[in-house]
Amino acid sequence: MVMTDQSPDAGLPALPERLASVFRALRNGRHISRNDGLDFLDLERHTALYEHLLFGLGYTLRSHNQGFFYLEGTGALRSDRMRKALLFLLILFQDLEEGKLKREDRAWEKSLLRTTFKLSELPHFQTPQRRSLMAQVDVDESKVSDLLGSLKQLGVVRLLSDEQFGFLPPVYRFIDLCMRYADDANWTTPGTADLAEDRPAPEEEVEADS
Amino acid sequence: MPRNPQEFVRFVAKHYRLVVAMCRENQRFTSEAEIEAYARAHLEVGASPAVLVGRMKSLGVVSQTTSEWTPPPFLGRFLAEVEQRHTLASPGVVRGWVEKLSDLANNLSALSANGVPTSADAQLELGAVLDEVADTISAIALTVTGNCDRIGDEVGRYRAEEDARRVRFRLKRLISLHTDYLEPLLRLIDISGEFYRVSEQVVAACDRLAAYAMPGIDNPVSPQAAAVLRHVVWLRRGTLRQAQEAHRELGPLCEAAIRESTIARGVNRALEAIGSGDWERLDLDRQLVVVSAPDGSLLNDRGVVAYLLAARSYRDVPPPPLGADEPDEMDLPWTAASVREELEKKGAVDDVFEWICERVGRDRPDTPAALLHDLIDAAPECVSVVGADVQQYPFTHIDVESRVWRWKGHGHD
Repeated sequence: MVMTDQSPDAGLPALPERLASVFRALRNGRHISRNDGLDFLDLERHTALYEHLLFGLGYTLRSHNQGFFYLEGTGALRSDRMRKALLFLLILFQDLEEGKLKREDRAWEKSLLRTTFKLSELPHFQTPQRRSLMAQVDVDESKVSDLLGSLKQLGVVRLLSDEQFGFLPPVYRFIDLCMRYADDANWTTPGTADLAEDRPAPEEEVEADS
Repeated sequence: MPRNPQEFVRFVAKHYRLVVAMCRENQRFTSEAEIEAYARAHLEVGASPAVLVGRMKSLGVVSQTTSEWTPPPFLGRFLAEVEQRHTLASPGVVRGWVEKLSDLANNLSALSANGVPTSADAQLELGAVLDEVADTISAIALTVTGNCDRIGDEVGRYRAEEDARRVRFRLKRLISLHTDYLEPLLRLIDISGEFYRVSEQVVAACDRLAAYAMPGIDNPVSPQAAAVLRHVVWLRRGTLRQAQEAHRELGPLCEAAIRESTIARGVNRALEAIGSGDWERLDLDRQLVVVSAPDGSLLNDRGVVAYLLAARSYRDVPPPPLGADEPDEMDLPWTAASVREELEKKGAVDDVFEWICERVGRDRPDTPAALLHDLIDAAPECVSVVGADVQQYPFTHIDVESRVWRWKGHGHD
């Protein structure tokens, strides 16, 4: 005689403890990183199970090497919101690149997650060109807080006291995007930040080549 | 002719800029007049170029080789060392030295295959090869060390530089040093590289020869081989360590710079596209997908969802006001049941269709015909055809021909 377990839960793994909270956050576009505490730990501990469950619902759970999770699938965020976020970050990255030679380490990316930014010192409205770019997405000084709120909701920034903010690991989705644009062989417009373009005076070159 | 070193050094110190310029530019003069012409630019006003050139010749600051006057090679090397100017040799140069070492190692292996040779001539030849091996290894070590020192200098200059434009140039220079010099060099001298393989061959041959060293036996080759063995192992380890240190210093710096340069290129491309209003170029819908499906209903039935949506959109509005006129009475439509009820009361009717037409009206034949049909279906036992003749039934726009149907209720048999 064969005995079988007739209970409905037989053979099924227990659902992750934070499933409801994680699912709700991911479906709202949040990128879950260590800053999200228990949700991140649960995701990290049961990644395979989450992948399986979310795949069954039509989503793909992505795990980034910088230590965060996010969803891919149907129901994308409105593009105007992403445009604002992207433009805001592009200008900030450009400013960091331009100013890095004044820094002691002469680099910005490695310390990006440790750097804090003051709202009053943002470069977005300091030149007419950048101001005009920001106007394209209908963002002026008064709307920067809303934009940061949106980035906070995505899990990209953390808001700090004294009108400051810092980046969280999910900002690397935007950095990855810049890398893809740079590596796009079909992009005909030449980039302008190549180190080769910054030539010193001829005498300097001779001295360095000696 | 013996020279006075103190006078020599004193002269070099006094005319340092002139001597350094001659050495760095690798000047060659075919006559004293050319030397005088060159030196004149570096002399104080009133000083005699002829006297100066005479001193240079007598002290050996310039010497004549193959009919040309030139600073002696040791002077250039000495000044470079003092200034810590390290020459940068291409990996091709080091590879050339390694190839030479490989030939020597093969020669050494062949000569030492049977241990230390017994004949004096063969021992002499082996000694010469060992000398050359030691020199070649030293040359490789010196070249690699020179490159590493030069790279160290460049890193130091980069870190000390304050001018932004020069910093960018120095950074580019460091990347070139890293990519074009240090990495190929490391591949060559690393434990998996050609230099290590060849030097292992030398070590094995020297080890074999050193084993023949016996007390009391006159064998100059074995001690020499033992010395070369120590020399090779020591230099190889030191060279590799220095190259790896240079790589540790330069590698992260260059990798970060290359990566940030790439990011910046992407940033600028994207900003250019945005600046020209070409958002489509950025392909955000595919390149930066962020799911946003906030909590909503989990009902799977479209009908229910539609109903709930309609219910949610319901707004309470007052009914439309009635007009001042009294509404007309509405005629109840005829049905087979009402017709049958009337006929039951009547008891018997000779022409049912005519009877229906009188009540329903003769505007259109559809309604009376349908009622007759329903009546026949509902009470077939009460309806029957009378005779074989066809009767004409006139309507407003059409006449209908039909046989005559009679109704006979249940109580009228």
